[in-house]
Amino acid sequence: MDAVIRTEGVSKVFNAGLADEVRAVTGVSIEIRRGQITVLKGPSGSGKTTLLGLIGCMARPTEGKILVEGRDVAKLPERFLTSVRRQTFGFIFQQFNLIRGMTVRENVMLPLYPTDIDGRQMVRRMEEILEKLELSSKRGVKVGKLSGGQQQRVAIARALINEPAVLLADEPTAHLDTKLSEDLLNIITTLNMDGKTIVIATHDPLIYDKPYIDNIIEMRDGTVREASLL
Amino acid sequence: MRGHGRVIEYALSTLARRKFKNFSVAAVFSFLIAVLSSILFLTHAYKTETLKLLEDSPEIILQNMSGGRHELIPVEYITTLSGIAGVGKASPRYWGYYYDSLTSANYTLMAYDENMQDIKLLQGRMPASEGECAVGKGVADIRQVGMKDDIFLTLGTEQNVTLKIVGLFSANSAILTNDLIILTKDSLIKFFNMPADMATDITIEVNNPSEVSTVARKIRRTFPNSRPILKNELIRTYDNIFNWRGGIVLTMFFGAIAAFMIFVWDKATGINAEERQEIGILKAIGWETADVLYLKFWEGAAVSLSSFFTGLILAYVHVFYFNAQFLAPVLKGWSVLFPKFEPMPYIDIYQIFVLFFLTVLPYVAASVVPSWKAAISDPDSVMR
Amino acid sequence: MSKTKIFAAFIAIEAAVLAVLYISSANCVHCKDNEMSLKRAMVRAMRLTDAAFWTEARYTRHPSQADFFAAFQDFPSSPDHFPAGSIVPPAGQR
Ligand SMILES: Nc1ncnc2c1ncn2[C@@H]1O[C@H](COP(=O)(O)OP(=O)(O)OP(=O)(O)O)[C@@H](O)[C@H]1O
Ligand SMILES: [Mg+2]
Repeated sequence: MDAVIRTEGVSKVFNAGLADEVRAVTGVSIEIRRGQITVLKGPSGSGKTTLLGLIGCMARPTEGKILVEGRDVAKLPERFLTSVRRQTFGFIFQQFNLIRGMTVRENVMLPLYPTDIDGRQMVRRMEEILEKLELSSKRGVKVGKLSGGQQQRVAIARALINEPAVLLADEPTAHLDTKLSEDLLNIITTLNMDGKTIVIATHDPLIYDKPYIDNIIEMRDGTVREASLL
Repeated sequence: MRGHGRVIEYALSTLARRKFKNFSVAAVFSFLIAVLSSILFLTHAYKTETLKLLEDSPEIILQNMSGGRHELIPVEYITTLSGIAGVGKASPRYWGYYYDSLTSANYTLMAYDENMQDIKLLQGRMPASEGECAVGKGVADIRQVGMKDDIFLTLGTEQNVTLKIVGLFSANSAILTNDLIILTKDSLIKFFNMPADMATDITIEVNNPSEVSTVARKIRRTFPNSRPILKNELIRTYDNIFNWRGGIVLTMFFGAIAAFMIFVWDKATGINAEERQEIGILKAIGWETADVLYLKFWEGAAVSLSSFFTGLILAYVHVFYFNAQFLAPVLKGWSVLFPKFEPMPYIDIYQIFVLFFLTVLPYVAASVVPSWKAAISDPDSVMR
Repeated sequence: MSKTKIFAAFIAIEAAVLAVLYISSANCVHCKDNEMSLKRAMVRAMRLTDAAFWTEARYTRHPSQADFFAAFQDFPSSPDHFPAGSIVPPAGQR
């Protein structure tokens, strides 16, 4: 199976050279395979979010290579990094990061606003995704008025609007109860069956104990402790 | 580009989302523009009108100086003056000031001469005999008198006159005549107790206007104690008074500009955490730095452009329809008699452009620049 | 694109109002040409040298006559007028 993303000796140092220097990620070499569900597992502060950000081109590593579809993005200038991010990745943030005060449909279409996609096509995509996530009836509602689970689904819809190959989720169940977490996992497995590559950073056993997880990468203090390829 | 239209739409949604905040910002902005442009409109209108009118004032006014002070001038100078090459008609003017303790106002008293007989903006007629006068609107109003009423002026037991009003200058000439009392030359000389054969000053026509300064030099040489005031000096004086980079305008301008600077400074020195977070989110979901700046540009442009236009409209209506009611007291200063403001709507497009560059551009810059830092930093901060 | 349309319409209306005001101002100036020429005739006939804006002092009533060379200067922006002159009213006035 081919790797969508491969990292080679990736490190991330925050506040380098200062008193509060933090080595959040050190010498990580991993592979994210196409069409699989990969879980980044580890205790709090172990560098999961940081690594997810590096994989998703949200920040550049201090050292090492990150190959996305075979192309090293570690040294790419900001503009190209953004376009890789837009074309390849969809993010589901721990805090949802929706724009409060805006409606569901606006939030979902937001990533496509500055692109030159046709307006009708954009709306059609949005409608399809809302349909799939059972949010159609909420499309005109301000996101601040939605329940936590609904907000989570809006965040997923937004991550899907640019039809990314890879979906990255950071602690997607952190704000959800068991029932909603199960619902979320159903959505994620459905998306995976549709061919999406999925990476989830979590320390929730509810997720990483699931049998359909293809790949678990366990982190500890910024390094990979164990990668179990199933 | 299609995308740009959607970013503009989103910028407007963002503004609408913070309705109260942006509405108050726009209100303050509009108000400041209204103040600034009211000042510009008003002073420009007055300056233009005054300068146009003064085109017709005498080429040279000759004053007599004594001890560094303006003195009465002997009428006999005229004979000598007429002999100087280039000098046309030279004629004496008789005028002076009168402080009216009753109303604490100063009037300007001027002697009638036959050149004045055809003046139009006058209701009634000019004084024909001793004991008659024509007065400006301001004088009539403050003394609460009208046609056929008497007006009593006194400087002491010897010097006093009672004048019957036979002429009233029309209100639209108030810019020139507001504080005037025109009376016959004999009454004026007697009232002011001026020595015989002396005048207040002498006006001089010059045959060839391009030689005015040569003529003035010759006059100075002939009468070393005299001071010729040239029409272009006079025009320059008015130009300076109303020049928008100095004098009254700058004094008034300064407060408003300072307020505006504080206003823009407040905006430029930072964006709040919420806005920063939002920029991070936009970057994280795939917006480029340029897109974010474009968004912020439009947020600033939408607020400032609409406020700028609103302010201009308010200022125009204020100055030219409501006769600058709110500014008048500032301009008025200690003046007791002040002509009723009815400025002619002379507009200088150039000033409007300058105001645009001084206000809208800094505001737009202040909207974009602080976002810059947030927009160029890595968006991974929104992940935690 | 509804908000963009509303905004564009708002700006267009304001611009139109400004244009109308500008044209009407030019018009108004033009239709007062006659009044202006009467006033200019008045200036010529009466040999006026100043506008009657400020009547509180000689140098404000007749700025044209103000001198720049006297020891105690008497002109609108002279040092003795500003700044004290702008906050101290003349004696006997409130
Ligand atoms: N911007 C930053 N500046 C300084 N230190 C940082 C920064 N971001 C993260 N860190 C540090 O890097 C380390 C790893 O953080 P990270 O958020 O990746 O952990 P995590 O595994 O996601 O933890 P959690 O499960 O609590 O979300 C932590 O010690 C954190 O304090
Ligand atoms: Mg984390």
